Amino acid sequence: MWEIADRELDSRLFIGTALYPSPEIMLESIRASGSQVITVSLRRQAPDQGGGQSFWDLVRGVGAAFLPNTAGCKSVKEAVTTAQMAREIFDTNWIKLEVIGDDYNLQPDPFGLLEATKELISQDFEVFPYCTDDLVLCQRLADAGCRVVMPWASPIGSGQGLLNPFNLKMIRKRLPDVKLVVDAGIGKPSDAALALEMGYDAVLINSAVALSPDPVTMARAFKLAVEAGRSGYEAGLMPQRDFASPSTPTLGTPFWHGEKA
Amino acid sequence: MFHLRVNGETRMVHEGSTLSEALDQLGYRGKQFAVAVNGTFVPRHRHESYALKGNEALEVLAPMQGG
Repeated sequence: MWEIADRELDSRLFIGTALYPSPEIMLESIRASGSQVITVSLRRQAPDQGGGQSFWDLVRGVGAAFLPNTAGCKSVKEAVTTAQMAREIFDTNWIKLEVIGDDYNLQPDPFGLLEATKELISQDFEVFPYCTDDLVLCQRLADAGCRVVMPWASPIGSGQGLLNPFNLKMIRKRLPDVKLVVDAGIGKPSDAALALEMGYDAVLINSAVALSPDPVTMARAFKLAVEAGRSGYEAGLMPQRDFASPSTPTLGTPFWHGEKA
Repeated sequence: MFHLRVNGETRMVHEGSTLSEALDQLGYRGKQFAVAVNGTFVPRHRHESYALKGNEALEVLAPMQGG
């Protein structure tokens, strides 16, 4: 068990609900992932479509905590308003805060993100800010009151994995008391394992599972990878060396090279 | 009747409608949606007393898949 924002969880894998081939595969993938936190969103709804209600009926049966996002918001006002609407619909003060600064790579706007974070925290939201892997930005978000910070591994949906492990390691080292979740860019289970080995508390994935030809099996692969990465971190990694060191004892080696014929 | 912009489309509702009445006329039922008027969130408990003047922009959002 571990704790994040006053909620106790077994799983360290957060999973998105978008892009699956079908609602049934989405549900099966969530179950296979073992995730207890799912991300959701809000979109315009025409009364005759009824899609919102059917999606709601589908996901509320999962039993996972909702982490609504503000995807697509480009200004502080849009993000704050969307967060307020999400709180009413999903009945949670958790919000994955996205304020996008660049349309091409969906890079977060750090200035708008920080401003929106401060406003939402003043309104009693639990802000999970989606941000770049900039140490000072992460520090400022923590200073603003975020108990969780979510730096990206690489741009959303790119599947490029951890592009800058040094930055992520430095954030972990400098913010030991903040819950850190790698969000966005993870493409394969080994990326997730690497993040957990670094000491990240969790990872948030969506495309890597939903866009796999076999999402359910991939969801299980991520579950195992996250567990392996966390166990590796807790066990402690061996020190790296710049030279070889034999693992098999050298004492009693047959045909010892040092012996003269 | 007066005009409203509802999710970017022009719609007509009875003049003098409250937000609650307008949503009803527009066909929104149930609880799985949230509303902003002119970019400002209006919580559900204020829908009945919120008087519309006409030409407001309504955003009506519902749960959807997200990452």
